Amino acid sequence: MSTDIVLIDDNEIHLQTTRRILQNYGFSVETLSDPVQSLELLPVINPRVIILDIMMPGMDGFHLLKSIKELPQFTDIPVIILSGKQFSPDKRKALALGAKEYLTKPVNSRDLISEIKKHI
Amino acid sequence: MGYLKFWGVRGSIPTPGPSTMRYGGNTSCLEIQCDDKLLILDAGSGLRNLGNALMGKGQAIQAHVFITHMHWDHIQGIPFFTPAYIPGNSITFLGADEADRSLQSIISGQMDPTYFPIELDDMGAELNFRNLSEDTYTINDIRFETLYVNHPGNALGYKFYLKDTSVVYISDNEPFDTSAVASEEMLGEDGNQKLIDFVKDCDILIHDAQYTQEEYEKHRTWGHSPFTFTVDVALQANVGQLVLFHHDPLHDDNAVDTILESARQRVHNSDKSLNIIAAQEGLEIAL
Repeated sequence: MSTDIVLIDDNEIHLQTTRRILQNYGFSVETLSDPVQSLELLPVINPRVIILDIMMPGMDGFHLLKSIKELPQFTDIPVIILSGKQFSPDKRKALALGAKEYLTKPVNSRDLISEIKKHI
Repeated sequence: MGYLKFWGVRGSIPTPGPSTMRYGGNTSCLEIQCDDKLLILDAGSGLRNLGNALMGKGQAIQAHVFITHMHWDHIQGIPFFTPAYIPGNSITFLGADEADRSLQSIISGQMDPTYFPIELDDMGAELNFRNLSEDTYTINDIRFETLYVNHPGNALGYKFYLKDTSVVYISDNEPFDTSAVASEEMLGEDGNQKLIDFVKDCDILIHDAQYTQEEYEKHRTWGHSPFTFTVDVALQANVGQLVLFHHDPLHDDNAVDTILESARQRVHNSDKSLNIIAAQEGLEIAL
């Protein structure tokens, strides 16, 4: 059975809270806090949707998004950015790199669920 | 042991003129001399005067230039940095690249022939480029940490460990919206706590304080801080000395004086102590 969603964020509290809420909606969820390591684990987990932070140690979300999209099996995977950065240039950049949507924290959980349901 | 000197303290665009004579009108540039090492923090228009001063010493120059981000006011001094034209000098630029563009490409872009008559490749010094992310580094025996800060694009804050003195430099940064933190209805986090942890117990904090609180309300999502936030971070992080930085181009010397006085009053109204100054061109702090 494949995983519905992978959350990638360096903030553990945010990861756990978001995972619990998404699980309450019936999704299967895995969390990853290390962006560099996530490049190795994503092919193993093989999620249907990725939710990705931007400001993370080791590798920022823009570089990670580009690297994910360069993996053959993830060329078309829906990636939703969920970041505290509220700047329109960052949103434009993420969408140009292949993200489906750019949501900013704090985000209403209904809006996040609604975006996920477009892809699952 | 060394010193830290301000060569440019202004945000966004140079503001020469009689109304900014005391604090200065050049954009971001700091010099750190630590033993025999030269560190340059940002390469705004202040870099030109720093370059001229270094040339006056008549010595070969080996410099590391730490760039917070690639907006004009942080790189516009590079084409006018005379030491970069001198064979035998070595300049290493460090900063965060973009996912779709290298550090060298970003810096050389402003010297495209359309914008400037001399290209980066035509500068005579040895130029090196080192990409950084959020991490801990030791380069040329200089230990430092980096932090992604809240500003459009990939922007870094730096924490340098210089012998017995720690210096944090965060030129451009806006508070995160923490109006909701991790509830069933709203998903968020206290993004500002990471900043406080990074700054914790440093000896000198140089931080964006571009706006008053009233001005900030009109400039949300512009990527800068009201001085009130900057003071509160410094107080919570037990900082030794706070330097208000990145003065707004609309602020004359009297306006910066007023912000400085208000910042000191904010500390006075708290139950803590904190030494605050406003960054000023030519100001030198012994390390």
